[in-house]
Amino acid sequence: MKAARNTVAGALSGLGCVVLLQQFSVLYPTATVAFTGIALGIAVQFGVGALVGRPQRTASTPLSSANVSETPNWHPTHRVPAEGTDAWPEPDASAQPEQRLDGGLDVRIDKAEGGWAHVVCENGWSTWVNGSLLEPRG
Amino acid sequence: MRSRRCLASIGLATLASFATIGCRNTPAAASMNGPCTATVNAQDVGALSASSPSDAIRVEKSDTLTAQAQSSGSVGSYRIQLEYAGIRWTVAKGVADNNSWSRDVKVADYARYGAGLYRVHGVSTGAAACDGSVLIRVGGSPFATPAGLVGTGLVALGVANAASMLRRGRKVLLP
Repeated sequence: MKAARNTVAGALSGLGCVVLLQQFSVLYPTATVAFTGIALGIAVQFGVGALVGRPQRTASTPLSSANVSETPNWHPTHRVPAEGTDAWPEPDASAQPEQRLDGGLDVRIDKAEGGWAHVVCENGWSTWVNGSLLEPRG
Repeated sequence: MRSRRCLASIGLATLASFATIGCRNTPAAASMNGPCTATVNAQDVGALSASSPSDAIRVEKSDTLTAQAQSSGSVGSYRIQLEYAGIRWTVAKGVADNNSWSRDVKVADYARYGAGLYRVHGVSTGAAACDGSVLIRVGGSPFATPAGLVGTGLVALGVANAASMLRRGRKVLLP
């Protein structure tokens, strides 16, 4: 869904750039220029998405679209402690943490395994954290 | 992580490419094919590039464009075509007078939706077939035309989507 949105927005904005450049007499839009503009527009959207650090879901933590937190029904159940906490791609303390969650970040516990909690952030990203560190929301 | 860096590289390369496309000078291309000479508003088409904006013939929306062509042989019919993004459509056609033809085209009839650069083709058929093209630069403010407004809207759509990603991205702190 996110990829489709980026693709459509990128293609349209790329085409818009080409139209504006033509309207301002900067370049004449040949078919090649038009297709290049569309392709670059799509690449810009995906590039921006990558630059802002939106991690992809890992294969070990697949989420169906039904329980992804980007849906309007997402409700946080816990909060990351003020000092923040490390996040792992798998419930395995011997592995290197993949991220560090910001203190005060609202999350929803999706499932628990031992002392581990699989949490989903509001933007749909999911990860494993030490469940005992999370603070229940009032 | 690696894929994210890869995508980031693509994004940066894309921005650089956009800058390159916007700034480079398009190499000059031959604008007349065949044994003909042609003029548009008394300017020799053969001496002008059909791809370089600096060679574009400037007109205003209220102007009338006069296209003339002469061939060394007999010409049957002719067509005047507009080209945009590789798509051509005929805006005028007629029958030549022996080996020459001339036609007036009102710019306002074909540039009512936008300003900027358009490519105009003059195509002759017959014993001495020719295809000549030239860039026309239609004056006027891009923001006062439907095409300019649509282009601005489409760019705004992309900016809004990128801004949305930036806003959401702040909610997860990266290492």
